Amino acid sequence: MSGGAEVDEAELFARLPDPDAREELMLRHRPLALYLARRFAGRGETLEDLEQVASLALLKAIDRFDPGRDVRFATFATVTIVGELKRHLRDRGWAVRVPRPLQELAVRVSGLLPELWQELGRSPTVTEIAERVDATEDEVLEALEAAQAYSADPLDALASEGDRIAPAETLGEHDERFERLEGWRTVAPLIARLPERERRILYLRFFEERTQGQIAEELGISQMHVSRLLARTLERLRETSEG
Amino acid sequence: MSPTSGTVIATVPARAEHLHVIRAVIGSVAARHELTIDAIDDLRIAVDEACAQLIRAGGETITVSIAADATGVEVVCRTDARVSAWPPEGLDRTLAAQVLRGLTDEVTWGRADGRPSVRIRKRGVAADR
Repeated sequence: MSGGAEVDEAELFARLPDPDAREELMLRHRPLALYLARRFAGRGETLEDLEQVASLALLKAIDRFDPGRDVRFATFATVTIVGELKRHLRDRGWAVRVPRPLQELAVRVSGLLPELWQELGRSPTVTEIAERVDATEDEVLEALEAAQAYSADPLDALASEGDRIAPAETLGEHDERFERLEGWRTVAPLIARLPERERRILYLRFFEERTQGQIAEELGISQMHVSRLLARTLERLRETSEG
Repeated sequence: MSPTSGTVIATVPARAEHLHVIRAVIGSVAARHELTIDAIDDLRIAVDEACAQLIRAGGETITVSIAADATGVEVVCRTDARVSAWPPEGLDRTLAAQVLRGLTDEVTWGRADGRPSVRIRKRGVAADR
């Protein structure tokens, strides 16, 4: 974080509970919330719901953050958002399509978790759960996996879509955002030279986090066309920036 | 924490689709060393992030060493890529770096055996007693 950006953010926190400052902080850190929400996709909840939980958690983090403490807001927000997402998934139960004995153990484990939380004052270890349900640690691990199957989607997306990681910075005009975001900064001059439609597609896909289908609808073209334009644009940016 | 006979080492091709193996191994080892289920989840996400960054550095394989002691679990992720610039410039400002800082007790971007690595520490419940 540059000194300038930090000063700006400290000023915003100092202005709270001013709604404009709150809104600005929300906009700045929304990419972080959306990014973390995607990390929990595939556990039986829609991405939209997860994004909503993450956004509310971000708001909570903004209201609770104490700028006087020696911790960055992004760190504090990450912990708050991940905590809320976990709590949400825990409360919602678990995904289906797992073998019945495992389902039963998963139900028992899920039911036991709030009790153990209360008893221990923290989340339990696998050993503690295993002792309580009279199962092996491996069985408990499997049950936990069934209850909260971890999603490989975010990383797959990372690997296939190139510079996908967008840092938590401010929202603004499209080109200005590309210019200011680490990772995109190096290709910002190239993006500025792209046709308006390609630039718009990049913006919607990576900053608004829209799906290709949603972009197709907005631009009035087919999803296949969006897919081709996006792939071609990313390839061009990658080639130019690496060459 | 240097590798001992209790260190678990897993090597996978440096592609995202193979990282589920790493996640499974992390869960299995961490579960046996008094990490809470929340901490295990955090560690898995953190290792995912670290490996994603290492995959971007190029190379054929990703190797993850997981060692545990009474205080917690330490994971060292490394690639066999030969790159001079590591960690990448501007890393501190990326979401990956923020996520890693937020979810772990200690994270060090460095080199292991001369190759790019990320060392992550997560405390177990014994450390808080």
